[in-house]
Amino acid sequence: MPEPMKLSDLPPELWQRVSDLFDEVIDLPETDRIPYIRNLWGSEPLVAKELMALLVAAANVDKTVPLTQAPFNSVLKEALTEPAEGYAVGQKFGAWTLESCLGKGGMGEVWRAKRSDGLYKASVAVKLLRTDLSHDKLSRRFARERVVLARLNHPNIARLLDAGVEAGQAFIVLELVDGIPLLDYVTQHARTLEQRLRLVRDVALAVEHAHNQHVLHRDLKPSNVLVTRDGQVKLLDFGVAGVLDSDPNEPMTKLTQLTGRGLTLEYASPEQITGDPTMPASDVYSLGVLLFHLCTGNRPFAASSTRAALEYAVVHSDPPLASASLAQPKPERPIPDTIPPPVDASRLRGDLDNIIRRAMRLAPEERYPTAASLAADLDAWMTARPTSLHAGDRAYATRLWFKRHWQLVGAGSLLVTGIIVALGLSLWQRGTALTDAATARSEIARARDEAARSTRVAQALADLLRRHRANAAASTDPNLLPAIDQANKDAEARLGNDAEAREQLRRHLGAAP
Amino acid sequence: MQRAASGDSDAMRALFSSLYPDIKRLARGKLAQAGGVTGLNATALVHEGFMRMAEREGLQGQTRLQFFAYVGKVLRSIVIDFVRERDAEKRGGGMTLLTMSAADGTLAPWMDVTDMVALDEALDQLQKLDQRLYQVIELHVFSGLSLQEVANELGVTLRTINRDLLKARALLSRSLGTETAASSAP
Repeated sequence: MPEPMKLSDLPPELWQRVSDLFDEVIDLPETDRIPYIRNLWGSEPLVAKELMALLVAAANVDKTVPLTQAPFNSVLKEALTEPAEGYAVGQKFGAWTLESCLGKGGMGEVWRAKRSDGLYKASVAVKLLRTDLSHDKLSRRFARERVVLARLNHPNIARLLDAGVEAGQAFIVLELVDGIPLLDYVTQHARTLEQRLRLVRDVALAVEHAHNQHVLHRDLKPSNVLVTRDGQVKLLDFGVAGVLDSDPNEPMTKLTQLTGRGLTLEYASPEQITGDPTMPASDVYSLGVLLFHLCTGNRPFAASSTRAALEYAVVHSDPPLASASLAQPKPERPIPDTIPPPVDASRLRGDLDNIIRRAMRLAPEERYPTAASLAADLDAWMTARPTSLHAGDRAYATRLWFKRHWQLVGAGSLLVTGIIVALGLSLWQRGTALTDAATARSEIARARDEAARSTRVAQALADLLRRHRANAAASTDPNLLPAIDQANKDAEARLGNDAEAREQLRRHLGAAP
Repeated sequence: MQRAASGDSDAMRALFSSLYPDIKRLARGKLAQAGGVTGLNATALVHEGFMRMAEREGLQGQTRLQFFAYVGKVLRSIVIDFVRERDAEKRGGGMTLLTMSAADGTLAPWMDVTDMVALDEALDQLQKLDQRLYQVIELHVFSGLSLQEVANELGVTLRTINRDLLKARALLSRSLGTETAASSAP
């Protein structure tokens, strides 16, 4: 190996000459290079020698100085993720003593810890946050925020026990949750849409509780949701994003303003990306993304390959329909955080599509006004009741009525099924007709006729059904009787306060008094 | 961070110096967001943010170049400081070589064989000898611009950039004494 050459020993004029000739020679075929240099050796031996050395070095440069982006990038990544200081067992943060490291992430490290003075027996989770905010700023902010955060008291929210700054290191102390991250839980234990929706519904209700205390989460994502062994969700890091956020009262530098801080882009709402004020609707949006993820197995816009593309997509377009994204061909490269879609993903189409859409509207005011209203629609879907998206749509409500009683309907013979369906429809029409009659005076007569006709049809069908019921009672099919009684009850409930209609129905179906 | 390019005016240097904490925070933040995603191009990730900033700030021509050069300087010093500190910490102060995690897959043995501090010094020498060659390395390797972007910024062809990069690395190789034994005169 040759002696290193100090570049400062290389005369600039010599280098300039070598550099120019290098550009010429490098374009020559290899076989022409030696004659070229030999030629040069006669007139400019110093230049020729240096040029030769440079050409040889260039030929091996991939091995000797692979100074390219990839290796540099790799060290850079390590340099940037390296914590400023390592933490150690026994280290104290406020009243808390670290016991063991539970995990490391982009935001910092999480440690299991105990209260040093023994006043609080249970183990807690201490989160050591990575932030470049100044000590004073952090302290002030923590003092302000922990009063608010400590107020959150909800079974599905991991309690914040303490927060502080010790030697420039910001930390928060949380209830230690014995659970697994949402995506892992879903992959292992929640295979159906309904199981998954239930989890999101619970998260939404917890978010609603916080909103009622004027606390936004601002960083809702699967890794902030743990699920305990008995299937209870626990939300982590409520309001933490806010504590670490740039101070709205202080002018941000241009760079921070434009590029944002440690926001989780994948679940962020458009207004969070553009840096507009966050609001409850921003959390609703993130809930929508979560919902989309659990319902389809992937985040919306998961195919965006760069962050810029993702930001652009989130800020400029409504998300794709959840059901449509299922039909997408498999991506060439694996997308992080992909989970298996629910086994009954085909049920997404329609209402669930629309629920997700509404949660993720670009304009905050077009989304669900509260997390609770989103939860309510999820509940409605799970019990096949009308969602808020269809308020006032009777035909839709009727369809759902039959969907709700599908099992029951399916329990009877085909014939009976047909009858119940027809009966239900005619009773429904009758109810409709009566309502219309009450509200539209000019049409009273016509409506009465219609109502009467509906009643007659219903009666006829009911007769048929009653006869069949008698047959069924004598037969060996045990399912039919309760089925009809159930249908009776439900239909009755549909008729509400219409005492006369209920009475008629009871007579028609011959139910037990 | 006293490595401001010789061409920087004082005013520009003052402006960029004030951005140093922001650049570092941005870089960290970008990585934090990506938390744990392996195979991620950290430089490109960080670079995206700077690119967008340059665009929105309407940085043009020389100013724009200086901005990217500054970003490159910051990132380079982050890496060198990191390596220095780690070596000091782990080996009781002696200079050692880096062992890389294989996270990027494409990793060349460079980090195993290159004395990072010597490389840092060689880069300084290179900059004194041939500002242009250093600029290409700075823009491409350190501030994360693609080769095509470097070509666009400098207003030359991609071919020229490729050749400059090869020349710069060959020169560094000479400086580090890492050419193969065949480099003696014929």
